[in-house]
Amino acid sequence: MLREGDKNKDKSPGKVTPIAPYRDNLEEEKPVRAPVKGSLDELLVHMHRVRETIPVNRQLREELKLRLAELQDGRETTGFHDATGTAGENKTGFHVRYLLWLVPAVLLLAVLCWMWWSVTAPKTLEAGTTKEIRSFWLEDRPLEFVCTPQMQGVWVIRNGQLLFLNRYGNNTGSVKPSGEWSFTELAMTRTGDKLALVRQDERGREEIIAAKLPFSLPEDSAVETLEKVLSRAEVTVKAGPGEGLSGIAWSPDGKVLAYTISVSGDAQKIYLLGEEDEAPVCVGPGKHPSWSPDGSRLVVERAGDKGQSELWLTGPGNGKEIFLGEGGCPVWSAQGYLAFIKVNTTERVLTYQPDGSPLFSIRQLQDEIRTLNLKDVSSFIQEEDRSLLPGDSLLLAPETGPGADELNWLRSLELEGVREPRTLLLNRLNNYDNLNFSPDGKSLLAARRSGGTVTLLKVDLQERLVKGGEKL
Amino acid sequence: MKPEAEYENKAGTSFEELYDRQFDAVNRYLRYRIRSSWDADDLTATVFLKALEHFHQYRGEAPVVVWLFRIAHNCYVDYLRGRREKVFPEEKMLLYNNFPSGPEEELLREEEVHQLRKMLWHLTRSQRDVVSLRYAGELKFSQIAMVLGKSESAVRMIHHRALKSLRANFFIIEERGESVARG
Repeated sequence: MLREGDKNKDKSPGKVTPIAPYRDNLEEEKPVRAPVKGSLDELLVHMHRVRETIPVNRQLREELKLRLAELQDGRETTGFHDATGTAGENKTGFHVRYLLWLVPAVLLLAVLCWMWWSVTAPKTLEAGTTKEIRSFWLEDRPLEFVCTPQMQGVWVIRNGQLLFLNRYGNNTGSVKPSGEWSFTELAMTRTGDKLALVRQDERGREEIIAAKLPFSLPEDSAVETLEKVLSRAEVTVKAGPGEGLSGIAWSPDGKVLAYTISVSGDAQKIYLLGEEDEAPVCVGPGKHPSWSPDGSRLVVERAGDKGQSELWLTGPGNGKEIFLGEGGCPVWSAQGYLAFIKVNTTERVLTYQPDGSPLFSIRQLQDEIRTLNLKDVSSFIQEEDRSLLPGDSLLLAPETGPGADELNWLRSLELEGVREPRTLLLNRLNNYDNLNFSPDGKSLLAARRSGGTVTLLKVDLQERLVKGGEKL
Repeated sequence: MKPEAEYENKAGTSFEELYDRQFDAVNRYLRYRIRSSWDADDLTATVFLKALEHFHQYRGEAPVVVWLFRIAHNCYVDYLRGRREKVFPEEKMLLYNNFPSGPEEELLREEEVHQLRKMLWHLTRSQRDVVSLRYAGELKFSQIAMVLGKSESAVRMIHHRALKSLRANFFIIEERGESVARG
């Protein structure tokens, strides 16, 4: 309660004056007027005096400053933190911050690992849809064919002529060789800019001609254009008397032509012919040469000790020769897969004896198309260790089921009352003649003999990851 | 202390400058409000540690001194809450005369300080907050408003009523003291 006398003494009785003028006076060190007894000024002076009597802890001020400086510099003082309770908070913040970084880092690492795995993991080819493109009557020679770039069509040698088939197997034209010649084999570079043909005259002399192809062959005038090109083709190799030419293959860069010369149908040697006028270089025995994607190595087919077909990795140059396994007709895709034909013996048991042993069984030789991933051959070439070689895997096998021959044989055995074990040897099944990858490596073309016909097959290919394959 | 440049930009000052300028005010404010000078000093350290930890989060919406005192006030409220759980209400603490004290506390035992603390006891919580921030923290009304999350006019009204109450109690105590002295 304010007294009346006090009110009269104050300039603004009953009004609480702000402290600012008082503080201003204090800061400017103006003489403070003595507070009037019982006025608000007296109270403010009193409160100010209280404030002034509260000392500041100077020691704390200096120590805390040092502590804070240490914290800011990252030099943590455990005891100090624990005492103030901020250590836990800092630790939590640290964990949260690092967790925020850790989660995307782990995800990124997983993605990188997956990418690395998908690139380096062993892969194999898997057969997708198989489609018959075209069937022909069987001839003495195997069906020879090449895929044109981008799989626009297939060029086939039939009846000594070069036959053009579109992707659906329809005949779009044919080129006849000039004069007495007939074509027997052909090879095209991966880019489709060069063509090599083996031709044979009526007397059996063979030679290889090579020609550069135009950038694109118009569909309506492809025959005329190619006839003109082939009329100007130069003869690159002439076979000697009694020699045969086969297995021609362009190197990936189209500069070297590999071919096989067979003498009297027995000894077969592979030669390489360069672009310039150099003498052909022999790289050893074998046939069906196929170039590696980089053009540094060749896979060839050779005859083994027992006459079986074997695959060898060889030259050019003085490269080491490495035995890859049994198989024939190798083709090496631009993607690094080697496809080849392997003959396997299958045995099926039709009936069993009471003791569980086979009674009547069938044994049959059958061709299988198998693939081998040779994307990275350098390691086992250097080490000469076949254990480093990846296992091959089955791509295409014939369907084996009981046929008319088996049923007839069983019937005859029943009629004869035979009760001892018997085995029926059947003819070789699915005689694959030739293989060829499409330039993009997404499909494989194969010629399969069956009965009196040979069928051109197109097999779609898919890459898949594997843990391992069957060893050769 | 070497605060990062971005902190300096937001606060308009470095943490070191803030510390140098405001340590006394914060320490005094807490000592003003808390009878135990040891607790007040611990709380002062906590305030500046929190301030350092969150200095990079300061967005500059309010003056940096307001931001600092908001931390101090919240620390004080937390402190009271903790003490209350230990059956030591703020009011009782203020009135305890036999509370252990340091050397500084001897000075506070002067009659005037004692009187003011008694008078503060008669104020409401918000009035005590305003008076403490005003006279111990030396904040402006606008800054007190921001610290307490009230409007400036509301703070001025609370301050006005607090002073009226203090003045009434102050002169009652004065008159009693004089009559006792005249005997």
